[in-house]
Amino acid sequence: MQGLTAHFGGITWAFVLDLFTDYGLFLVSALGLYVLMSAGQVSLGHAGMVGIASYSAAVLAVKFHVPFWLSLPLTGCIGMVAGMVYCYLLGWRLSGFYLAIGTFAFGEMMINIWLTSDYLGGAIGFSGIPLLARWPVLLIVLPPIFYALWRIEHSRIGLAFRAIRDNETVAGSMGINVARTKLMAWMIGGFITGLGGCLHAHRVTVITPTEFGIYTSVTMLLAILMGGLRTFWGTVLGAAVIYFGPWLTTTSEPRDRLMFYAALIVILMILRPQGLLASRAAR
Amino acid sequence: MAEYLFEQFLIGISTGAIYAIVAIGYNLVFGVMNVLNLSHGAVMMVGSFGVLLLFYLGIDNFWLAVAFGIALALVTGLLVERIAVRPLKGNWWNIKVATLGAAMFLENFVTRLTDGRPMPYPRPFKPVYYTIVGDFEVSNVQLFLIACSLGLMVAMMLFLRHTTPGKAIRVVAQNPDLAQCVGVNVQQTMVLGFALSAALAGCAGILNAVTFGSTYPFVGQFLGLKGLVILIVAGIGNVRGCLIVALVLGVLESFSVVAGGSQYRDLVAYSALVLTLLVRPHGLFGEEGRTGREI
Amino acid sequence: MPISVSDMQPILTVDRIEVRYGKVVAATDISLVIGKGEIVTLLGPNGAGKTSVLKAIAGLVAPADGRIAFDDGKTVHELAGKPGHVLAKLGIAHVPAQNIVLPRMTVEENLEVGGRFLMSDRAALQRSVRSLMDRFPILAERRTQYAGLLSGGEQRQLAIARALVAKPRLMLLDEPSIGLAPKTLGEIFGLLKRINREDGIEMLLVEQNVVKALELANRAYVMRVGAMDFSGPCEDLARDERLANAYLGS
Ligand SMILES: Nc1ncnc2c1ncn2[C@@H]1O[C@H](COP(=O)(O)OP(=O)(O)OP(=O)(O)O)[C@@H](O)[C@H]1O
Ligand SMILES: [Mg+2]
Repeated sequence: MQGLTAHFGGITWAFVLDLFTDYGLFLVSALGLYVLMSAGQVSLGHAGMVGIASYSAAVLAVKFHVPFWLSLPLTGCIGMVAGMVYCYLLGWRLSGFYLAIGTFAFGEMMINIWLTSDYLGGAIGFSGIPLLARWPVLLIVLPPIFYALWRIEHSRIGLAFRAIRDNETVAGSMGINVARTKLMAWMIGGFITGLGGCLHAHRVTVITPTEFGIYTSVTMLLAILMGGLRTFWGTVLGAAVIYFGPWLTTTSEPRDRLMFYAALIVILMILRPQGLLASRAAR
Repeated sequence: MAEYLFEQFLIGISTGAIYAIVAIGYNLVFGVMNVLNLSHGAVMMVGSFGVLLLFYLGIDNFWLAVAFGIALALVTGLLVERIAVRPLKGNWWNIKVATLGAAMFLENFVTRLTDGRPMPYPRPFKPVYYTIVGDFEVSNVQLFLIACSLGLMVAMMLFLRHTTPGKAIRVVAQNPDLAQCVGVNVQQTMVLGFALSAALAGCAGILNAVTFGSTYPFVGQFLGLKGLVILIVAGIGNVRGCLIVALVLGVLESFSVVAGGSQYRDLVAYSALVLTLLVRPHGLFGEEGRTGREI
Repeated sequence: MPISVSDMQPILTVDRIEVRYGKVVAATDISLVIGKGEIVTLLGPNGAGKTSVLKAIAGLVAPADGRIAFDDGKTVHELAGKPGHVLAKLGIAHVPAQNIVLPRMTVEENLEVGGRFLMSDRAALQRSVRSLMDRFPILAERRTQYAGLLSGGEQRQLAIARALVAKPRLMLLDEPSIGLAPKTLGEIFGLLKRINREDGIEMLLVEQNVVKALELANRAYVMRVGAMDFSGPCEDLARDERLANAYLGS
């Protein structure tokens, strides 16, 4: 009991706000992945895409002194182009398991490129990015994203996404242009991820290559798997579970927290294999 | 310079051989169950720490410790199968996530027990250096490690090819329904595949730790990812392909360190993977329509 | 003189089984018997549930309801719910309709696998494999070739031969005529008849080639979608208009 008060007692408003801001920023990138996954484009290296956007934002801000409000949409567009490249190289050629591995390998390759690049700070990381992504930014960025996702979900393109996720061949025979739909998914997902990467860079101020590795990718993936693929609100909820769940444990030892978290993953996979918000038939 | 290159070549061969064992471990599980076991790296780590555990308990016998390490890896692997694989009923995507969860658990558990720093590792015997020609030197430990890894690979191939349980594994890998029809206990064979994979993981973890003279709780991430790269580059389900690709990659990595520095090591591996997927989506030795399920 | 059900000694009795995949019911209330020495055929339109019934008898799916009894000459075994490899050990050999060979093993290895897990005597296994290669000359010719590279008809022959390696008591054949040229079909069906006569192996045959199936078998069961429709001796059914209706869909 005493531990409990100690755990929650030290929590201040500023801390809660910080935590929510971190959650919101994480959510933006995770929603980018949601768009991909909703079209069956399983990515196991999504953090790599976030990293591309983060490094772009960092270069724009530090080397070219581009103002934040210009750099944000610009990074979104860079993310979109990255999405197109991913789609061309991987999305159109691979599917399912191989796509997952391909995206993972691509992410690891990017990490190793950043590690070897002196221009980008190498292993030490890229520092000096101004701290600009505070909570008000989220209030401006998140609602339009939600609105856009809601519109997509209720439109033909959302239906096409679901159709190619279910069965590419059948979707193709129903008159859906599979290649174009995939490209759309990668572009939309890439744009949102681009925004997420830019916000991330302006939040942490120092970015290092290894933070965009498989653990981050899997964390985002988990948010989506927990939420299920029926609606993007699932991801909003899943990301909250991922982000706030570990804080509910009454231990201050970070390793214990990670163990708790790992156990949670296994248990969730067993008990709700289809995600928290999805019906059983949805996956 | 020449002896430096030679030394790097030997290091390349011995790491390559370890990679091969890791990749075969993935292959066994992928073959019989059609799932990717992402806890494989963590099981290697557990094996390497098992050896240290026995020393810590005061038993000062390297070979006994090795046997204990392998056994611990095996038990851990079987536990993962029971908890994070079997209840998920073949849903490959969920199994991937759940086994990754299991890996995270194991890694953080061991970190908690050992405070996470790299631990010095015992050697099987005192190294003696032999001069081959001129300045080329090689130690008996190095030779021993290479012999162990390659021996393990050959033994594995012979086992799969010629023994009844080995054949059962291959039959289940090719067609589990047909396996039942010819009298193979599929469930039991799956567990056998998992057990063998875990034991191999233990061996790989120990060999790697002896090679580098240390181990740490996250060593499995690095090794596990390399094994995965080889699995995909070689084409899932191809044991011989795995061996070739692993040795080539090991040597290539070694030489890329010579050429550019240690930061180029992983770049080589992952670029090779991306390139392979672009040119031959089913791996160098794989064939279209043969996605796994075969050994 | 057709055999009537009452005066024969059944080696397999399927009693009101139901087969389902999750919520999908593939077949309900299926009963059939196979008497000593008989070849019985199971007919019906696509999706009727024939393959499902065969799988249930072979232990590849557990029936949701009903019982299956198999008399191996000494004891009567309850089969429902037992896994396929146990049934294989009791002498039930199943030749499925698709994916019938192990593609990455040679023809000889495929044959060997047919008995490797069922026979303890290695020498007997080798003898059995050799005698089957005599019976199926094409397999002897292709001995060292990968089975995946055989033609469809050759694969079918390999699968039938493999099922015979361990000297089964009962053979379950799912559409053995698929992909066989008329000449080969005649040969294979002739061979099945001989095996049935000479080795005393009973057979349950699922077929789409109704004419050939009725020629080969003693009795036939006809399913409609999900259930049993009617049954009778093959001679009678060949003239029965209900069979024509079942296939032409009325
Ligand atoms: N694994 C499965 N999961 C779900 N439903 C299945 C499965 N296998 C078969 N079914 C369904 O069960 C029903 C019967 O299928 P079955 O294969 O037994 O038919 P069949 O009589 O052999 O048909 P055919 O002559 O086309 O081979 C079909 O409606 C089919 O869709
Ligand atoms: Mg059928």
